[in-house]
Amino acid sequence: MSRFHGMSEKYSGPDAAQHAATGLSKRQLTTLLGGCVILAAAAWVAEVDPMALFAAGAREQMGAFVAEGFPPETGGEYLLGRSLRDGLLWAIVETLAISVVGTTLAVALAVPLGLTSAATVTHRGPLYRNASAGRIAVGRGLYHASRTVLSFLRSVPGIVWGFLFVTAIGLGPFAGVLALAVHNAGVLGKLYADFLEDTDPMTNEAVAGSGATRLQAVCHGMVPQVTPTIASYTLYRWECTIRSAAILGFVGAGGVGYYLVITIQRLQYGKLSTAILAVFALVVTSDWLGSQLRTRLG
Amino acid sequence: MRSKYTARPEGKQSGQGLVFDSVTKRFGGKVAVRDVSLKLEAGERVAVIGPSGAGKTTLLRLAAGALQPDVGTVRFDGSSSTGSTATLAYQGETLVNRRTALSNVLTGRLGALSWLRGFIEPLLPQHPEPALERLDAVGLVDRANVPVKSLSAGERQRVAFARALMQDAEVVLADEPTANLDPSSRRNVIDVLDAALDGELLVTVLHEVDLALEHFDRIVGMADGRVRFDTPARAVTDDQLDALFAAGASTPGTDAERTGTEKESDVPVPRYV
Repeated sequence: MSRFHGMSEKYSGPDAAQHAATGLSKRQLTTLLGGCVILAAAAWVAEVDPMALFAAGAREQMGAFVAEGFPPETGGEYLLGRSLRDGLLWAIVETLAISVVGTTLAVALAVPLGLTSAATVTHRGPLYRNASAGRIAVGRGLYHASRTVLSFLRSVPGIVWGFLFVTAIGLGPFAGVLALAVHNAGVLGKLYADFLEDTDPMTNEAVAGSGATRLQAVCHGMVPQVTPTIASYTLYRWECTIRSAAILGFVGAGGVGYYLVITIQRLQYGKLSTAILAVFALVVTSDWLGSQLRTRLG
Repeated sequence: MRSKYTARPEGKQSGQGLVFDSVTKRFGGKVAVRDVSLKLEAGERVAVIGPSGAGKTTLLRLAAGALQPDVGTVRFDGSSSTGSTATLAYQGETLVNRRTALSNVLTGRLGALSWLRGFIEPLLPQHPEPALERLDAVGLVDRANVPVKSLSAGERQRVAFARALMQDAEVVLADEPTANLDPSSRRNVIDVLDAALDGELLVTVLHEVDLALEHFDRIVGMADGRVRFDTPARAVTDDQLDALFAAGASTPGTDAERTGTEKESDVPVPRYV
């Protein structure tokens, strides 16, 4: 109550009166101008050229795509292939499988890394009120080390991990599984750690006050506070991995991406349209499924 | 009600007293508790009252060992017993909401279990009896398997008591047990706490002065980290109360700052540094 009182005072001070009089404050104008400058610079770096869209070649190419892309290819051989592990439909199933196994592995990696990357678990807060300086130093070291590992895993894009794993273990969907697992372990681990650091310190203190060991206090005080949020974000991340899995085939790491890249290279626009529609259907279905599951969790 | 279950001998002769000896506690630059000396006797019922940010909750957390004083000592005084020395009943909001009342109460004494059992017990209890007894003591044994988030605020507060009672401590500390409750539940919660105790020293932080005067033997008035008065409940005068709450209101620091001294979770930077 009192906190909000303090805040409202801050926002109803002399500054507020000035806003009302002049419309935009000096600060808002500076922010707006600064934003425009940054956007212009970024557009220059990105070589933005709207006229390129209307050049003769571009129009011809886009026309060709629309003309040849319709109707989409629906031949049995293209869709079903010659064997079980062949054809566009199998590639869709494979994409889905890569995302499911990849996300599961990512969670398995992210849980321990997330725990060791949360300061409230390693060295800070109510669990460490009476800890020795040495124990806190060790905790801080572990925290920084595992945060660094997470940043690294996350900063290398999934498709680059895919290329590396294809090089290491050969072509195929398993390379895609590993690529998604490693990249998403970095993403999920950071999320888990941030959620754990945001748990209510008094709740953690109350559980720690029962004489629990630190690990027990983490399991029974901290973790149950965040499990619903974590489950929901993990599901959302799984939806993201489906989209990532759809392009892993570009580097030979399995899934429908192979069909996307091969049909583009061979200018088979009818087949490309089918593949794009299949990916679209997959993404829509998984989004729907994900939101259903999340509603059930909530 | 409790005597039916407790292993403690009837008509307990002695217990623990609690002594604060020139205790000072700071959070960053803010002084939450300034040079407090208090001697609380075994079996007393003490209410600590005062304006927000007076350092009342900090005082309890110091007694519970959740915080260490910067200056001075907090010690217990009297014969020791089987349970732990002091237990702090945190507010109902500090329960783990998704878990059942039983599971929350079971976390109240993880330290007494073996390392491995401590992990399993709150989820798959092998010996729920002690927790069920404590839930019975606060009148909620029939709600044992209800997730805490489906309980009312008053019921949550009572579960928090039950969790604290798991420690079998000689000194029971209760942090604003009536916060966020409607007037009728406030009285009920204090009555339940009264009934569940059995001769322990009880120290409660209370916002409602009338409840404090009605239910407690001894009143400690705190403002701005200091003890302003410490008298038997019947001897508290209106002038003392007016001065106490005026002292808090006239302190120049901002409200947020003073709240921050009382509860770390309210400090603008929420993480521990």
